[in-house]
Amino acid sequence: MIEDSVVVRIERIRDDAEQLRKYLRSRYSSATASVRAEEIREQAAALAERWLVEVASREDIADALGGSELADRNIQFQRLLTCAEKPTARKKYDQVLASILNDFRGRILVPLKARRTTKQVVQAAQVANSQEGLARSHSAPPRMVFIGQSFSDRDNAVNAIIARALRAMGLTVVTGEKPRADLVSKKVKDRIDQCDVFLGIFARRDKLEGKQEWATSPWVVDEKAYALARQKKLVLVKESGVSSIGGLQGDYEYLEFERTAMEEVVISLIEVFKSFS
Amino acid sequence: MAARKKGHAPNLLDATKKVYEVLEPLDPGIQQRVLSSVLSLLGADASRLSTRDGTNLVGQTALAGGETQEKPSRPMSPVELVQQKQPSTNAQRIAVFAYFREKFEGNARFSRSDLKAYFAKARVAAPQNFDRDFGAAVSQGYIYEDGSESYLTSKGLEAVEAGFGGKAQPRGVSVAAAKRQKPKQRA
Repeated sequence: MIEDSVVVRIERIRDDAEQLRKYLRSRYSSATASVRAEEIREQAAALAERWLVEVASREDIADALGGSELADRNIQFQRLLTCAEKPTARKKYDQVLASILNDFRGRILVPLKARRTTKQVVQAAQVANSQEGLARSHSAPPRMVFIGQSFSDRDNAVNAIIARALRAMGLTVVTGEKPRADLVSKKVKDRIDQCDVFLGIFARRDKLEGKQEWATSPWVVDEKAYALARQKKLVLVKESGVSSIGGLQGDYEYLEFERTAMEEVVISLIEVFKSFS
Repeated sequence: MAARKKGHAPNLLDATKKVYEVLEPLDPGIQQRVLSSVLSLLGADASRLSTRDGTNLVGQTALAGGETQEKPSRPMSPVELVQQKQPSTNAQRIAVFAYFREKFEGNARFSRSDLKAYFAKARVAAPQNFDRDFGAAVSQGYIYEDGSESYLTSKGLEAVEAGFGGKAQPRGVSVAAAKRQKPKQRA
């Protein structure tokens, strides 16, 4: 059951995405032009945040949409947020917005409207489910962890230390694969679905011009967005100096590490996973 | 839903006692949520539930996503809202009525005809051409029109909340007024 006011909020996000697309085209006639205007970037970031905060991790919406529809849209909204963080070519925005708006009515609004109901009925159901919710909160500790990581040789040591620490805690560790094209592959999605926890290692990648900051692997950010929609617990491990990991949403633990002091992140991970059990 | 049992004489004291026993161990907030849900299931008006100090609790219920939606503790009339937001055109008034419907009546959807009645409720003269003004609200981006599924857009929501920038839209001066204002030229 979905409250109608939630559906209206989602329709507003759709409208705003359409407006943003039109505005970008009127403001930047060339597809290769770099979108630098602060106000447009803020508008794009606010739009992505609205989705990621209000919609992305809602179990009722994921159930209504079925499959990985919500998670796939999350990846696109996460990319929109990433675009807004730095000057980005208009064509990149075009791609992301086209993916967001692709058959939005048929794939998002129609299934949600089919499940909508009044606020009172939703509240009654929430009360009825509260006991179940309490029981769920005392569920079994996680056994399987998906590690979202970079595949650069430079990061092998960091990835190996974290994976080894998790295995030493008795956890089964699953990792992704080197990404192809611009997609989170079906195989990776299936692996994330199997796991209880998503652990993202956001290591330094490209240095940002004129700053002592680095970008991180975009596919780890995409995988995080997917895991968020699949209601996974998130453990986000960021290397110091990484500028952004695409925002913090959902049920997450956040750790920062230095390559010269990996023992500290290992201890923090032990504490985090102990708190889950 | 199971049919309601017939033929039982109501025992008010027993019913009250049973409800009290079930609710007593719960936190006050949970007590209110249970009561409002039960009233909703019985088809009663849950909005009448209030605490001893008169605060309405139903409007502050947590949504499934953890978001809270707050309603003002005191209901507002369309007249008050129009006075507060000061819309200067009928298109703006229509946006205010859509806002009123969503925020104070809990109904974000409407059709064209649904909003027409609010002019009378707000003690505002009805427009001579309502369809034209509704169309203007749509073309100005305040309303997304989709039959009976129409709703106030983000732009409309923001415009109403900002009181339309706090100023009336400039209007053209009527021909008569322009003539009056025009200084007479000496021959």
